[in-house]
Amino acid sequence: MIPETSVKSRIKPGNSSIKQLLWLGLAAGVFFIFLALILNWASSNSDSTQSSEGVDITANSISLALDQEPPQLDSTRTSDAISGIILGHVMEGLLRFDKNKQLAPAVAERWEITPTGATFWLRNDARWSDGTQVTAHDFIFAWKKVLNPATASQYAFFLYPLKNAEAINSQNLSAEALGARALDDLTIEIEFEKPISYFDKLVAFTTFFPMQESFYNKTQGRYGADADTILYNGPFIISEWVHSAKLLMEKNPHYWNNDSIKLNAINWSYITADTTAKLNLFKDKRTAFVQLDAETLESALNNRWTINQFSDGTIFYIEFNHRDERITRNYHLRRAMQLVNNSNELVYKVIKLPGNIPGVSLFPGWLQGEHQLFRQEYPPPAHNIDIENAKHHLELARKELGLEEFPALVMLTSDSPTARKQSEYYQNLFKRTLGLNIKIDLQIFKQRLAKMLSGDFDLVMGGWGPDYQDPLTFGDLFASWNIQNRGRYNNPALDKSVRIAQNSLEPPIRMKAFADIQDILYNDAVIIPNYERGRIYVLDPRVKGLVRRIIGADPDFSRAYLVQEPAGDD
Amino acid sequence: MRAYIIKRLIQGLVTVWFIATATFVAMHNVPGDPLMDEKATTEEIRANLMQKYGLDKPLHKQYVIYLGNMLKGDFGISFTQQNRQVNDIIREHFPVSAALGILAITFAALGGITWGALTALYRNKLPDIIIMFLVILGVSVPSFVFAALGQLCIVSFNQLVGFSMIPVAGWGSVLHMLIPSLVLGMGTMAYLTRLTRSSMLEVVNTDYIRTAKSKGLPSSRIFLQHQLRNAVLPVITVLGPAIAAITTGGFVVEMVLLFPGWDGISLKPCNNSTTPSSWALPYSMVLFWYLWLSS
Repeated sequence: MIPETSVKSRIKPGNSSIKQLLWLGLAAGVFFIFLALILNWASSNSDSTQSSEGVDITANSISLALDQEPPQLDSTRTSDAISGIILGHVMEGLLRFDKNKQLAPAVAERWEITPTGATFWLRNDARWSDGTQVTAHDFIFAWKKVLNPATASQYAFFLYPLKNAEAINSQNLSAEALGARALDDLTIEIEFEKPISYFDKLVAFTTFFPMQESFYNKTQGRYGADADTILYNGPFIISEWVHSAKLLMEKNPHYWNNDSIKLNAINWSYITADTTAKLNLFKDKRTAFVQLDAETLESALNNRWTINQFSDGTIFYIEFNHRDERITRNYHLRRAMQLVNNSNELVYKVIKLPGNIPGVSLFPGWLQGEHQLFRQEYPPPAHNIDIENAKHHLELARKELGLEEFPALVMLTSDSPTARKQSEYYQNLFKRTLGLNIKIDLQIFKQRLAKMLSGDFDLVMGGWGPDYQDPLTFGDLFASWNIQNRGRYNNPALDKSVRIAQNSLEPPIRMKAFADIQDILYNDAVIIPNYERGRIYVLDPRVKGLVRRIIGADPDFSRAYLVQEPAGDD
Repeated sequence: MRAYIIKRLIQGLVTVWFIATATFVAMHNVPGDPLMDEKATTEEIRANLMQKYGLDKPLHKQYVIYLGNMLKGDFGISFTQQNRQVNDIIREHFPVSAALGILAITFAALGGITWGALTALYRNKLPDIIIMFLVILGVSVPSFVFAALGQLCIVSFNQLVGFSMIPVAGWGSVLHMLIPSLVLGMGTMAYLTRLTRSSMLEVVNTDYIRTAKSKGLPSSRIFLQHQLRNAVLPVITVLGPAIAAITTGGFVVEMVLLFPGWDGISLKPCNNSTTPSSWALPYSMVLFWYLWLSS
């Protein structure tokens, strides 16, 4: 046994062993760097000269971060927002929305819509990125592909206004029966299933984009999987796509309206959903744009950046369960909860994010009415918080339901930070004002959907983002046949109004129908509107011409341009 | 010998089959289904989707197809990244994770041995105390904290020097790999430092060191040829499992530092209850672990 002291004395570090160790460390460092270089050489397969600057004036390009890898760049099958952003930059339909959100000619030069059908005349200088002409046949091919049951397109319903489209999609008719055909290379004639008043707005949507048949056949089922398996007809092409890492766009030399495109390249150099990482990239001037959330807002304020707001058109609300076995089926109970609702407090004191607007109706403020905004023409019923009246309704509900005491109500909600705050606010509000107990049922995405579908809730935090630019995208949500109507609300009066709005071509009649729906939803306390979602973002001041839009590709940088110095207004 | 190999092969097959079956059962028991979305789909569209992904077939048939495809090495088409073959996804993203893993493990091993030797040399002195404090930090602080901190440091550093010297995140050059590999290797390095230190101290007490000393060998030679060489053996032993752990354990680091690696991509489907083919990704990870450890 060696005494401890002797051990110590023997491992006293000699000068030379320290030196040896230093050399060893240095050699290790050199080896590490050498290895890194080898691995770098071995694993990198691209030698692109893409700029790493967020805004590069000399190269006339910008760099941005994308929220996630685009799941589907096949326009006939895509249904998500991220793919929509990319496709909006590299593809073009018959029509498009311009910077003032108005319909503008795109591949179609002019068009005509009648109650029974539509005709589109295509420009003859529209080209695919390989230089071939974009023809009427490319559109018909794409549409038939969307409706082919084997394609299993989730957004096939966008084409249902075309005659026989729904029957083709449900395998009852052959694709030949479709009410759309190419009269010649440059003319498309469409027959409607039934009159539709907003068809021109639908045509600008991704699902209506063209696809060249011969190119598609060449890709052997891999269409849209990589940059070279897509043919582009929009302002940009994808020049390089490293999956889950970056997606680079270059100006499309064959685009018919090339003069209107100013940027040479849009580099989606980063793909991440991490808001802090995105903020850091912006701070480091590696990206030109970043969307903010509650966590990153403070940092943006500290940096004194100009913060921009934008309403993204989505409305959030509490939906009641109207199924027979649920006590929320009782009108007085719902009415009581509606009467204590205070959306202003929720938005300004609880969520506290700039850009959000207190909810007052299922129909968000941005929707167009006949001549002006819908809500200016038809304001929603006035909402006055009245706790006494609410208690009165609660008492009526208790008697009608024959209850001694109300059981705890289950409020189903998602696990997002905002939804959490929102549900805790309402839990507290209903307890404080009405003495009602709320049990918050916080669930992850799929589990929440499963519970919504099976009706396993009393109240659910719901929301809806518009599919197309017409009030009907909200108006039919609570129709008894709508699968989106998770609480199974069933009211013949509301159904009747929905049918009017769907079938009429007269704007005054349709708007009146929407106003009726708005009144029913309030007077019958079907939902409790919470807020209209706003987005906040910062943009490099040298970038101009960014378009934010509610429907379609958002953000849209396709017509953006760079200025040398930031404008003096700061 | 032959009997042994056959036995191991059978064992391996059973293990792989068990894992495949367990993932299949698990994915059919998670709530929700892959076709569910915030926006409900109509009956006919849903039926089309079910048919496309083979979800309309009875469960036992799905199971047979799933096993059959797996035997053929054909994982089908991904559901989350449609139009891409799952095999392509693995082929493209595995090298990224592997490169990162190799760098991280090299960094961890070299650093761990150097620091470990240093602490042993300066046992109970200031350098030892400082390094061991950092080691405890390294072992106990999770990698996502390091990743986020590392990113923050680079941003501040770049702001200080006035231009972007080191990239904040992303994938492209060797500089992009630097911080992720350091962060990823940090925990392992701390662990290896402790291991080196204790085995260094153990070796010091052995007879052959005493003999070397008494022979009058120079201390540098004793240190390098006798002490370090023997002390490093246990470190090399644990490197094997550590490589597998680091290559498959970069999930968090890859997420925070935006690395298009296999780990991040493999674990995404687990959150989303997607189709059998997507489950091939997490499954491939399990398979990798098994093959690595059994070899």
